Amino acid sequence: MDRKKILIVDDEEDFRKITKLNLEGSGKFEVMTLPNAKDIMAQVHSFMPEVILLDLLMPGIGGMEICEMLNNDPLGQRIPIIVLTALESDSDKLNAYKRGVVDYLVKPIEKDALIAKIERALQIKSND
Amino acid sequence: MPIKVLLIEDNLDHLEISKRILQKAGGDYEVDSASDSREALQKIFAGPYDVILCDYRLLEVTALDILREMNRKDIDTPFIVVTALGSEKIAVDMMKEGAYDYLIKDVLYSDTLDIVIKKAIERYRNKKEKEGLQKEIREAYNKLKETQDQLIQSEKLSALGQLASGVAHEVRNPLGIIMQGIDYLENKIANKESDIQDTLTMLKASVKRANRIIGSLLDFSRAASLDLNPEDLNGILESSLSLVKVRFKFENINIVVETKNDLPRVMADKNKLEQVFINILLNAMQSMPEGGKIVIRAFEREEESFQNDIGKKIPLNSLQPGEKVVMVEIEDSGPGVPEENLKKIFDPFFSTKGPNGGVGLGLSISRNIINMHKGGIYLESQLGKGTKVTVVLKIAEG
Repeated sequence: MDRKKILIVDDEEDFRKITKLNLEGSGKFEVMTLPNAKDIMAQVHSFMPEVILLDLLMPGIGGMEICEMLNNDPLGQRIPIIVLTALESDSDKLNAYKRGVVDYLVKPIEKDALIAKIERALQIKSND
Repeated sequence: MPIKVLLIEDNLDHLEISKRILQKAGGDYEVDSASDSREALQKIFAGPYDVILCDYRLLEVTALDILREMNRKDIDTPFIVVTALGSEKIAVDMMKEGAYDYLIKDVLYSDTLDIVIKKAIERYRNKKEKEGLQKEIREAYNKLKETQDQLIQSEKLSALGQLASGVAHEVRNPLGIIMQGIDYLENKIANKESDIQDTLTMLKASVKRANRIIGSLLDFSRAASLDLNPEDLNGILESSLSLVKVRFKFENINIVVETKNDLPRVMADKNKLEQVFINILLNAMQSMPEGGKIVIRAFEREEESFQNDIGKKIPLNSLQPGEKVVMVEIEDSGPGVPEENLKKIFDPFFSTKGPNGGVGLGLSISRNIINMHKGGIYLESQLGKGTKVTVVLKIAEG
């Protein structure tokens, strides 16, 4: 089966590592991870992810700005973004949805729920 | 305006002398008289007089009995006792009971009567003025205190909000790693022994519990700000019910709604009020694991005092006397709350549901929300009969 490409952008190294293991372990995904916004546009063009899991609060460039960077890129704006963060305020959610993210998930999340959300995002992308 | 004087004297000669002295004094006096205690009290109750002059020893009673009767009826007309020479001690005792002054029937009587009366009236007026000022100061102080309390509460909640959201972020990140780690281990450990599986399940439950505590803390702090609008209370109750009714059906809970259709709108934050009603409804449901009945009532009421948390009648500071309010009662047929828990029931983190139940913030959050609405929330309970939670809300103006 064709494995879907997922890019995880999160400053927590352990979270990147364990989530990559889980998603790849499901046999459905090929995962690349980044600790920050540096290199993100290069990776979008070389790795060509089909879904991006994006943390919001990171040192330097935050998740909201990354959304805007992706929205300004012809390839980036076609990739569904799922916010995966520990922030839960209504204003964060509203700001994220305003920037076009397809879903907003709050940590901790179970592997099966995360996979279901990614598959739904892929579905949305294929319906576009 | 003439000064109205009541002379109480059983000796008619003395009475006449006193009347003449007052007429001679040149003051503008309107003098009335009573010759026994019965007539005196009748006239005092019918009053008012500006001053009362009473002979200490009347036929069957003393001036003290008349003064005490006046105190019982809250009549504080300046009262001057007249005694015979040598009875100064009696007069002093009477002043301790509230008499304004005393006069000795002697040679100086005629010179001092007018002065003593005018002094007593002046003292009375000063006293009244002082009482009025004190009342105004007390009211202003209470209002200031109430505003200050609200400000402190709101600042506390705002500080708690910042702290809670910081803690939430810092704790949820590692929880996210632990949750994914447990999923990873569940997948990796093939042919799991039951104790390994039990341990993983327990770990996952603990992560969820810690996350619930974080969520509740955030809810608790979010009560710091309200989005108030005139709202239809029946609509809020209906939408709260619609969110829990599936669970109620499953738990065999029978719901009876007795609300009035023509309720006035209330000033409310719709979402936060829904949160309050859902908290109360879920508490009621959880208290009846074998099923039961919940009655919801909503009605308009004009009340000056309501029940507090522990069943004592108290005035609701934020309401004006006679102000109309809307009351919501949610009553269950559960086992009731033991008396020792009633006082703690609104305390943060007080719960009787055990580690797998709530974290004990539901009613505390609800009370914060209702306090921010300047309303009230009260709980009454009877063991073996059930529990009733009453929410009082202000009516929207206009």
